[in-house]
Amino acid sequence: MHPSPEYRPGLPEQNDNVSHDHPLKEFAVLLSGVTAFILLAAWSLGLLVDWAAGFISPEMEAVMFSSMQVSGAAVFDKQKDDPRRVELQRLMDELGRCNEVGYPLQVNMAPSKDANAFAFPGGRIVVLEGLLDTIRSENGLSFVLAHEMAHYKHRDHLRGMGRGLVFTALSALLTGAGSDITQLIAPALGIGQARYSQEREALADKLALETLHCFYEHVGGATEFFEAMQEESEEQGRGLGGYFASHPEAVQRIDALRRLASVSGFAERETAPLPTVLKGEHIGSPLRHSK
Amino acid sequence: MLLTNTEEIPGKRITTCYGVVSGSTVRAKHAGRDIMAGLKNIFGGELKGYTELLQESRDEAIKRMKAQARQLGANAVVNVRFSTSSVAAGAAEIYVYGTAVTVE
Repeated sequence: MHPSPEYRPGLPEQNDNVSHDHPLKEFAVLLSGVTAFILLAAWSLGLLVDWAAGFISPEMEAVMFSSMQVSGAAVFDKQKDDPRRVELQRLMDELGRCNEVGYPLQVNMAPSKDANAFAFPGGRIVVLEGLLDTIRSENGLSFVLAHEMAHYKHRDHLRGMGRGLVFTALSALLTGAGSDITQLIAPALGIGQARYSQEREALADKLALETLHCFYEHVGGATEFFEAMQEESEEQGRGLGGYFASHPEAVQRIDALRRLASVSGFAERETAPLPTVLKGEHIGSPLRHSK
Repeated sequence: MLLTNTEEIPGKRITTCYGVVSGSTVRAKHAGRDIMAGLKNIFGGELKGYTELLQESRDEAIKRMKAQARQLGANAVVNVRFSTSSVAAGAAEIYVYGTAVTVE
C-alpha cells in the first residue's frame, strides 16, 4: 500500500510566459529592422526602375502617356499659335540639334508668377511665365530649356515617376496604406529620394552646359537663372532644408557649373538679349485668361 | 520531463503534486507569410505558413510550461491541455497547462 501523494503547491520564481526585454529596446530593434529592409528594398527597386526606364522608347512613352492629360491641356491647345510659344519652340528645336534628345518635344507656357519649367511624361515641357520675367538673356533661357531637355534624354521623368510609384506601393504593401508606421519611415525614404533627385539635377545641369557651349560656343548665361533664384530667396533651401530639397541649392549649382566650365575649358562671353517677343508684362495676356 | 494528458502515467507513481503550471505565447507571421497566405486564400489549400506558426507556438508554449514545472522541482506534467484564442488580426495565442508532479 503506497502513501497518497504529497501536495506541495508553489509558484515559479521566474515567469517565462512574460518577456523580460525592455519594450523600448524591442521597439528600437523592430523599427530599425523595418527601416533597413525598406531602404534596401527601395534602393534595389529604384535601380530596377532606372534599368527599366532605359527600355522605354519615346514612341512607347507617347503611347503610355497618351491618355494622361497635363492639367490645363485645353489652355495649351489655345496657345498653339501664341508668338511667345512659337519662339520658345523654335529655340528648343534649335537646341535639339546639339543634345540629340530623340524625343518629339513640345513646349508650352503656363500662367504663374513662379520662375520654373517642368518636364512632363510624353514630351511636353511647360515653362511658367514667371521664368520669362526672371531670365534676362536668351542664353539663360536656353540653359533652362536645355536642362529640361536633358531630363528627357536621361529619362529622369520616367525614373522619378517610377520610383514614386514603387515607394508608395512598397510602404502600402508592408504597412498598409496611410498607416502610422508608413508616416514614421517616410522621412527616411524622402531623404533618399531627395539625394537621388539632386544627382539627376546635377547630371541635367552638366548636359545643359554642354548644350549651351555647343549652341553658342560659350557658356555665358548658364548660371543666370540660379543667380536670380539666389537673390530672390536668400534663406530658402539653406542648411538642412537644402538636404531635403530635390533641387541642389542655387549656390552649389552655380559653383558646380563654374567648376565644370573651367575643367571643360568652356569660355564665358557676353549673352544675347532675350527675344523681344518673350519680354514684357504677361499679366492680362490672352494666355492668362484662357478658359 | 514527462508530459501526458492522462491523470496517471502507466508504470509510474506520483509522489508529489505541485499544482498548475502553464505556458503561453502569442505569435504572428512576418508580412511575407501573410501575403502568401492571402494568395493561398484565392486558390485554396493548406496555409503552410500558419500551420508552421501554430506548431512553433505549441513548441514554445510547452517549453515554457516545462520550465515552470522544473522550477517547482517536478519531473512530469500530467493532465496537459491546449487551448487557443485569436488575440489580434493575424496573431494567435497558444496556451498549454497541466499539473506539475514528481513521479517515481
